[in-house]
Amino acid sequence: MLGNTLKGLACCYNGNQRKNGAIWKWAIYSCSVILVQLWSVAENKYKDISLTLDTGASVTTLTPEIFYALGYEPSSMPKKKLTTASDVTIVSHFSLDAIKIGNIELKNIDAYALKFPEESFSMGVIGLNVLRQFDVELLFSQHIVRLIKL
Amino acid sequence: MYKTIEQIHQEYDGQWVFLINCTEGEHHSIAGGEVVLSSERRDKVLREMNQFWTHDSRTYILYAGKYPEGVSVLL
Repeated sequence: MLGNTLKGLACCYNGNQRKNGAIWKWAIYSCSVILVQLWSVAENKYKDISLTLDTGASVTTLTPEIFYALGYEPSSMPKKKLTTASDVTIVSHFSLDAIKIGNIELKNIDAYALKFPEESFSMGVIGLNVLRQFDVELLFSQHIVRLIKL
Repeated sequence: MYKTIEQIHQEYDGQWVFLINCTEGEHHSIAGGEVVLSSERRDKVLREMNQFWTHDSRTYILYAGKYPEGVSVLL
């Protein structure tokens, strides 16, 4: 988990097209929150949501309410064991049709339904299963998170 | 009423907000929108957002402002 405030510009670059993607203008306290778009199977379009960028998470997780809103049925999904910093829990495992960060689309992303406490100020995290598809630069001096697609 | 994202962060500091009629800003960011739900309780917004979630326009849910003083989060 990032220990310093990141606030301001975040850019997505797509390979050789050095083209700016998303900006995350507001970071909350000691974590960076990024704007992503999740594919809604219910509406056949992308939905905007802010998720926490978490380099300490191996997987991507979303609070169950968001999965429902996207048209997924947690009860019908396979269950997997998920280990967090404080607990081991059983959660529903999904394959998100697509996630879009800036202008970069990633398909068939593994994700888990995990209820976050209200006090976490989060609805989910983008984990390493997504982040490792990029080179990730955390430029604290410039308040920038930069993702460069591999 | 449309507000910029900066206005929303200032006016709704410490609250979860749900926006409709969002506009895109620079680099695919959300530049602003119309606040239709707001609450200090995230789950209240998540419960009530269903009526707006499938709105024709672009929607967005976010926590506005900063963490309360003295709060640290480990995820």
